[in-house]
Amino acid sequence: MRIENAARLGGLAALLAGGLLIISELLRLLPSGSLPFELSGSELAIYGWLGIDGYLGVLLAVLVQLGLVALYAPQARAAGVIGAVGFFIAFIGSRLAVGPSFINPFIEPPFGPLVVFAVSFVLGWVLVGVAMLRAQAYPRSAVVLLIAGALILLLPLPLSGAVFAAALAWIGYILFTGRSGGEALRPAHA
Amino acid sequence: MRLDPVRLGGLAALLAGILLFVSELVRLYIDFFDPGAYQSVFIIDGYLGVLLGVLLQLGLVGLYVPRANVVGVLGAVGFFLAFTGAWLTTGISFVDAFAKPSSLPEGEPEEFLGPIARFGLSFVLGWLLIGVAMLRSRAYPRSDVTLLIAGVLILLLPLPLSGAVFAAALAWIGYILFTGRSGRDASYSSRV
Repeated sequence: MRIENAARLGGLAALLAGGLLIISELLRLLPSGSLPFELSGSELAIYGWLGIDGYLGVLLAVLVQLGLVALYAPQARAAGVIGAVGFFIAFIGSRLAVGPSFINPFIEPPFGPLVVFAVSFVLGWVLVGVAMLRAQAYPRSAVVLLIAGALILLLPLPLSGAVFAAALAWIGYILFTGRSGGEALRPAHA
Repeated sequence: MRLDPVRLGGLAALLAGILLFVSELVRLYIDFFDPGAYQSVFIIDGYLGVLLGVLLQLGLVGLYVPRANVVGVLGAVGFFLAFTGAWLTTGISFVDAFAKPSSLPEGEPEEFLGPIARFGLSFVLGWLLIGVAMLRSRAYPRSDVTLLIAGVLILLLPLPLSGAVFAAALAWIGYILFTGRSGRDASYSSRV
């Protein structure tokens, strides 16, 4: 069986990453201890190496990285050097800043230094967004939301990842379905 | 300035292969010649580890994406497994490139079997499936892909330089993608 369009699979990854990230944000609003898969100590021995939170966290981290590849790769030529630099920084940032936890996917303070999160994950995604905006690779509103969402991630507020998640899911949906919504989706120039 | 993503992906695979080979040599030197030498690379070990992990993931993307149409579902499943495996088992240390035992167990067998099973069922199985899919679809020269499959299986052995064959195969395919050359193997066809 052949996979006719790898971009669609990548779009599905971005869509799922956005969806999972929104669920993660919503779960974090619940009172601590009320979640059935926050495990520690001996419980981890029962559920395995990472626990359910860890396994879902790994899935989310991998989907965020694959979603980034899916957003960038079809438009790589049009996105130019800024896009390539942004992609590389965002890819490293996704590796550094997204940890194996579904409830706390981003390794932000107090889990890690804010500057590392800002100059890797956020800066990378902003550069990718700017390159996509300049190349008119995706609908302008979706890309603006992505850039805004990446910047909002820096704020220590509840649901700060929701905008980024929604934008990621939106662009993923566009790639997965091949639809562009109300705006024209430019060809890949590839 | 326009960039060719296929060439960039090939460059990532080439660099990943070279870095992995260097990592194997450094590990060999530390294990057999100068154990104290680790202190001198300790500061940069983590940073280089992240770089190696990221390049391994990007190299995998570089190998898979241009041939995604021809390697089918087997290749897609292998790609996802190998990508997840690379996330789980690389990126912590440059000297210990993979989170797996580097020698036979001296204590409890579980301490050896657990990590090796994780590594085997994610990274190794993923690359193996991709290799088989590439071999069947002739996505890359047969000799390179055979070396890649052999290399990834050898990775399971707790031996010095066990990553060298995999590193060489990865660098070789990366070089092919980066330069656009196919070597002497006439069966190579991108069919993209």
